[in-house]
Amino acid sequence: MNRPGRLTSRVFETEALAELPALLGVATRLTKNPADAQDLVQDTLLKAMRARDQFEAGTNLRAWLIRILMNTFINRYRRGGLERSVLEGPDADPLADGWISAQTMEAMRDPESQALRPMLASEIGRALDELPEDYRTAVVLSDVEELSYKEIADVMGCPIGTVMSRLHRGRRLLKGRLYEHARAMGIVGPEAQVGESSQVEAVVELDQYRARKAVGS
Amino acid sequence: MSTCRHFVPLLEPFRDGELSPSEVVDVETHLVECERCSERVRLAEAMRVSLKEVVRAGAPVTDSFEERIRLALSAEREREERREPAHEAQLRMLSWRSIVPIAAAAAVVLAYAASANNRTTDVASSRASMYQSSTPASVEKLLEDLVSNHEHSSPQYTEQSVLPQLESEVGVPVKLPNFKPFGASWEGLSVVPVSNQRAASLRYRIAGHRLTVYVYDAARVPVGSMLQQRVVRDEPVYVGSRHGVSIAATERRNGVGYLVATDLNKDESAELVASIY
Repeated sequence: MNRPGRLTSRVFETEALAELPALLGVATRLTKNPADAQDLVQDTLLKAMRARDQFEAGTNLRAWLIRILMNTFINRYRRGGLERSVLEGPDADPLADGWISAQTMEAMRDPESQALRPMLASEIGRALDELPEDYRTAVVLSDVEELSYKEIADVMGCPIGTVMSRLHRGRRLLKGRLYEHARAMGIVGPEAQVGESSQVEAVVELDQYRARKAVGS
Repeated sequence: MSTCRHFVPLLEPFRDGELSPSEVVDVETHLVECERCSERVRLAEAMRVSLKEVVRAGAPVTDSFEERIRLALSAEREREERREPAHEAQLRMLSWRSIVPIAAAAAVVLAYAASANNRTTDVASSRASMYQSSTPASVEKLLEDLVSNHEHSSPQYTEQSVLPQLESEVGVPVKLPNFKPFGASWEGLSVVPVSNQRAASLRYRIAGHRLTVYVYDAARVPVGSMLQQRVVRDEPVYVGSRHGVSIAATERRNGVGYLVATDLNKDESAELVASIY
């Protein structure tokens, strides 16, 4: 029997096809291989078509499809499950943007394109691929596919706090990598250590901030 | 700096749209005062723009990939419809369950149908009862009948002036395709009766080859489910062949379906049907 509100196969097909660029983008970053990425997207959409009764009308179809894609990737393309590529826990990375000055950050941007300076933009794909997988996935889902923290948490099967932590660390690694590249290219000069310590960056849990604020107020 | 210490943890959730409205106001107030935090936000935005560009450019959806996915999904849909023929497919099919075989078709000419003689309805409904469900077999039968009609019937009218009457019979606008660029010559038209509605059948000849164009209400004719999908001139076209007759069908945005039957090859048929608009 069909459930009320069930997507018909044709409606599903039309809506799912509109998500092809997003799915292929995520799949390519996961598999790092165009042919595997295409197979992964096809498997994902066939599974999703069969399981479309489970999709809740009114929720984000893209997030739902990406969740299936991630599960398919883990089960089929990475037998043995998703190993934790980076241990959760205290951040060992000493590089924080606390000591990058506003002037340096400004020099890394291209005011006309609203993007990074072209020389840095060409580096960002490589920097992204070198991120630990969990960080890379979180960054792509948030910055490229514009999923919410909750949706990313569902896709990655982890708490929202972990999503925030992965995003923060992934973005900071990217920024550090781009800063190094900018220095090597002579886009920015050497930076003197200023004021803030990396401790400033260590607080990423929004809940902690809110708790502090509630106590303080 | 102590203020920055307070706000830095909020900058990412701020950009990600995860803060409450009052927190957004707090952050925006701070950004007006703090060049460094503003620059943090702008650099992060620039990274986001560049990331989007690099991820999209690194995984372009090519036409061939999109077509591969379409074919995979439509094959899955067919499998599903075979497993579960009762509901979804039936809704789409409504009353067009099969065209009536040729013996009945010969009896139904425009004037005859217009006279609302009950005998025709009886014949049609008794035949239609053979195809009560919208199974692949019934769609297959419909295709076979269209092909048989193409091969064996002759046009009932040669004057194009009967077109307006024909539209009221078929229930959709019937415009003559422009096949002149293909060197087609006009032969005539008929109404092809179906269980309880009709299609227009337009007959042409191209370099000695017979060509029939069926015009119908696409919502009621799911011929695509038994044919192969491809993209011609950026439009989806369904192609196949039965008994040496190639078939190509398409649907226009106004809901009018066109199906071409010829003894030309499938590519040529697909090209012909894609030229209709």
